[in-house]
Amino acid sequence: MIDDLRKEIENIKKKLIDEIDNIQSLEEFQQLRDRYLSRKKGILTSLMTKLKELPPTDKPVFGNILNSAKKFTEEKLNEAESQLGKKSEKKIDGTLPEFDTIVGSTHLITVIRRSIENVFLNMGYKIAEGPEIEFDENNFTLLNFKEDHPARDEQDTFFIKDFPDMLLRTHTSPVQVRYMKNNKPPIKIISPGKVFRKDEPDATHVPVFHQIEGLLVDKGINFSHLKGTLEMFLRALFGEDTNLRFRPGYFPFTEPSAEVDISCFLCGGKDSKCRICKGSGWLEILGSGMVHREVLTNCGIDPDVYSGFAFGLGIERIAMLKYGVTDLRFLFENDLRFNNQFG
Amino acid sequence: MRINLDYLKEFIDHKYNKQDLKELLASIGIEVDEMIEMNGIDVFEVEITPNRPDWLSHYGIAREIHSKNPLLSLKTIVTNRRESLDKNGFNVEIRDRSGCSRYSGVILNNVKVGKSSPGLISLIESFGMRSVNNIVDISNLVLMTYGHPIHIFDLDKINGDKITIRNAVQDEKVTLLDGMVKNLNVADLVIADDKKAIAVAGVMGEENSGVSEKTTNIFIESAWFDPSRVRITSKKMGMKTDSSYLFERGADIENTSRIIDLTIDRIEEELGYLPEIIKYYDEYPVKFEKQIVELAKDFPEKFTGIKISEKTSNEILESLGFILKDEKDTWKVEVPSFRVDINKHEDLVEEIIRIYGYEKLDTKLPATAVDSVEKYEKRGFLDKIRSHFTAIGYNEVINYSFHSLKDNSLFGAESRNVELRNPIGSDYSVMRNSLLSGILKNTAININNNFLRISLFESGTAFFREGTKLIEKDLVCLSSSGFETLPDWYESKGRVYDFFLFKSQIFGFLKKAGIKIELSFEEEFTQFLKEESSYRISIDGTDAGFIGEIKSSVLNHYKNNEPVFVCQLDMDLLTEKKEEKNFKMWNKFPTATRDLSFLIDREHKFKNISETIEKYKPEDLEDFSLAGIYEGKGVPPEKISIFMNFRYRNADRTLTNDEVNELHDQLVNKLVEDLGIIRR
Ligand SMILES: [Zn+2]
Repeated sequence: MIDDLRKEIENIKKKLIDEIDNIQSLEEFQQLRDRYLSRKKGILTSLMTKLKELPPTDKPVFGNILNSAKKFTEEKLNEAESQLGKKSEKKIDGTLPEFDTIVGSTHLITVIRRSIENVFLNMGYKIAEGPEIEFDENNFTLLNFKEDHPARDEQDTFFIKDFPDMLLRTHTSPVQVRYMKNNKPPIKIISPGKVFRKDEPDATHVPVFHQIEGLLVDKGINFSHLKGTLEMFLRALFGEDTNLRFRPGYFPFTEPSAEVDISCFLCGGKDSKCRICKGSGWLEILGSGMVHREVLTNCGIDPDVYSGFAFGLGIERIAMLKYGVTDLRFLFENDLRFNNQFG
Repeated sequence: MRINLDYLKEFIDHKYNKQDLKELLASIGIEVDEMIEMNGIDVFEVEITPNRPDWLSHYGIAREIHSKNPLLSLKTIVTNRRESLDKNGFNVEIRDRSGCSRYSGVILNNVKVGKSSPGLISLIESFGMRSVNNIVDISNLVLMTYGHPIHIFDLDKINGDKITIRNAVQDEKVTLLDGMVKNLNVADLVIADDKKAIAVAGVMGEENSGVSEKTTNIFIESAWFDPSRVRITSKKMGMKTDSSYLFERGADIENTSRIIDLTIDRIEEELGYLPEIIKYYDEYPVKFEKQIVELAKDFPEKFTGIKISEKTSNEILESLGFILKDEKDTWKVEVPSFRVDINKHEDLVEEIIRIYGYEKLDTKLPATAVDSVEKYEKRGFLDKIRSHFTAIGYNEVINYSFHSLKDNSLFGAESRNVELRNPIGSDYSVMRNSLLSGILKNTAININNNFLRISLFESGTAFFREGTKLIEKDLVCLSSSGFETLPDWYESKGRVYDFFLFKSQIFGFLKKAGIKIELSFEEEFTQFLKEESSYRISIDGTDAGFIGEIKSSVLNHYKNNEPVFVCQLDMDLLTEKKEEKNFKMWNKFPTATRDLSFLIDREHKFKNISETIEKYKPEDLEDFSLAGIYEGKGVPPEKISIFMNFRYRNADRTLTNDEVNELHDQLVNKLVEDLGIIRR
């Protein structure tokens, strides 16, 4: 009996090869595969029922024969399928349009923030972060904004109800204060984050915005180090041929202070109607200076041993200048017609 | 402040055109915001930083231009004291010497008050002020010219024979020139006659004491008031005047008496005659102390990084009015009285480099190196979330951190609100207690704009009050509404978000990050989530956030009625619980799959089934999964039909059929016993 079965199986194999030769389409191929290997009705599968009829000694032998036949069938079918695939490649039209592949967007603020952070990480700076609700002391007093000094008016502040000494930080400088209080020089950090100023939203003002500030404190740091560092950073951000202009400025926490302009990357000062520089050739980009001795002292650093520089810039301003965003409110409306354009 | 360029030329003889002048001013720290033309005169609107009150005048600006270019000729201001009749007037008494350290003045009789001359009117208007009468205009002209506020009283309105500079008494009332009645307290400094306050010191005069057309005799005040006292009072009263603006930044105490003389000159010029000078006053109880700052000669180079010769430093400081005493390696530098901003050697270096030119700074790189490395776990994980979810169609959003009270009330308890004392408006009156509100607003806007697929996420801070503490929580919030895949020629029907699709995207990501999450129904979140999909997400038994579908009452508030699925998670917890995985060799033996189809009471959640399986799970059950759910025809209404796959495998050998069958049957029996499933 086992021999009959063996013969039957050989016939099945031969028939399979003939049939494979005649296949024209994937559909026919699928039918063929089902006819031989389908779980319930497949020719080879149904031979399993014969197993019961065999004497115990023949059972494993038949099992082996059947298995190798199945394997043979699989191989031949796979081979045939790949042949068929090659034949049918011609049949698709690759010029059909791609369909929507669902890619979202990173917010422009994040895009800019990360690009700036990466420049400074490359320059060996660390990133320091801190709370958005701050003590008046960290946000103002320790930064040399004297109590009852008009300098405090320049940064219109939100205060927290029932917490007289707490406010929404108006800059990320309090992060630097915290860092200096807790770490010994050398200090080399940037502090990115949200800041708050009491402005009615309009095209150029928003009450919540983002800043990145930097701080370096070490022995022997001078004003020229600040200029060198900012030149390297701003060239990385705006292009290698960017020029810098330093102008005297005033911040309570730096002395000397400098406003920094970059040469207009759009027109180079040649277009009197330039969208961003209005023909002046310069763009105000950041504020900076040597850390005020009072601030160092307040944070437990001896200003006669150490000196340092600090700088800060607004991410929203970069969005306006570099990415041409015409209204800051767009950044916070999250209209996908806006957000989808970036990231 | 407005600078009239024609008038400026009276003090400094320069040939700059306005563009060059603007550049020159910028190079020394005076920013021209606007260039205006008024009646053919060029006027600059300049921004003066709060540290430089000495720039708040035409003469102050001229003096600064001169130090940048000492070759230009700067007008010397000469004052001479005219003789007075020295008749009896009133007495002046300063009771608060720190609040008012100097009080100068003069009484003039026979002053003809009237319309100002055309020249004066044109000057006053070019400063952006309104002409009132000749005497008031002159007080403004003196302020804009020399940078010292003066106040002029109608002498005949002053009662009694004494002027007192004193603290106000509690609840003392004063009606000011603009008609406003103000309540004073002891912190406020007033100028008073025998009867009442006739001026709030340095801020504004009293209603009736001012100069009018009927005035003939005047008292001119030129004083020095303490900056912070003036600021406190002016801020409290909500009155910012040109006078308070200057006093709170710091007036030149040494100048008050000279200002009186200069004012008399201007009055004579305007009236065409010299009024009778009845009496001069100059009470100066706290004398100005000369400020001496020591400057090491090598410090300018040390602090700027560029070589500046001693000669240059010396010349620059002297051109700015500093007096230098050479002491071998240092200078003892005497600071002029109008420079209230200078008290340390860094300040002097700033002066030197400011005039020398910031453009001469070198570009060097600091050699500073740091000695440790940060891992930025949270930042890294946030970026991973960001890149994963943007890749599958989510858009990052950033919203204001403010909510209305109503917004907060939708997502949390009022007692935990962090309120602002001075919000911009009621829509922004509290700090957000959830990222949901922003995301729901954004979703509604985009639905309105006909977007069919709106998947958003935001990472940011939410704020809570806990007793006397303020808590900030770093959260990430995700949402989906509408299609996941839009219908197109390839997939004609598209795929629309439902709870399971949303959940699978989020949980799939978390699982891959090695975060073990548990889901449990949570009553608390039905405040904003639909009853049937209001789930708490926990990680290792700690609350991590929620997932569910926003309920319709909340959607209505945001003017939306499309379903929105949301999930908000605690970033710190996610960062803590994510796991880096070690390599594990995969099992090389074949798996044996067993199917199970059964009916179960609807009251059982799938969670019960999986927990029961986990409870009795044989070691060789590698995993199991839901393969299908069926309800409807052929299934009793109180039941649901479930189809599952179980995969068995042993780590060391191939399991026999019988072994697998036995394991599977045992497990199924447990399900029958515990959950009452009926095998099909
Ligand atoms: Zn340009």
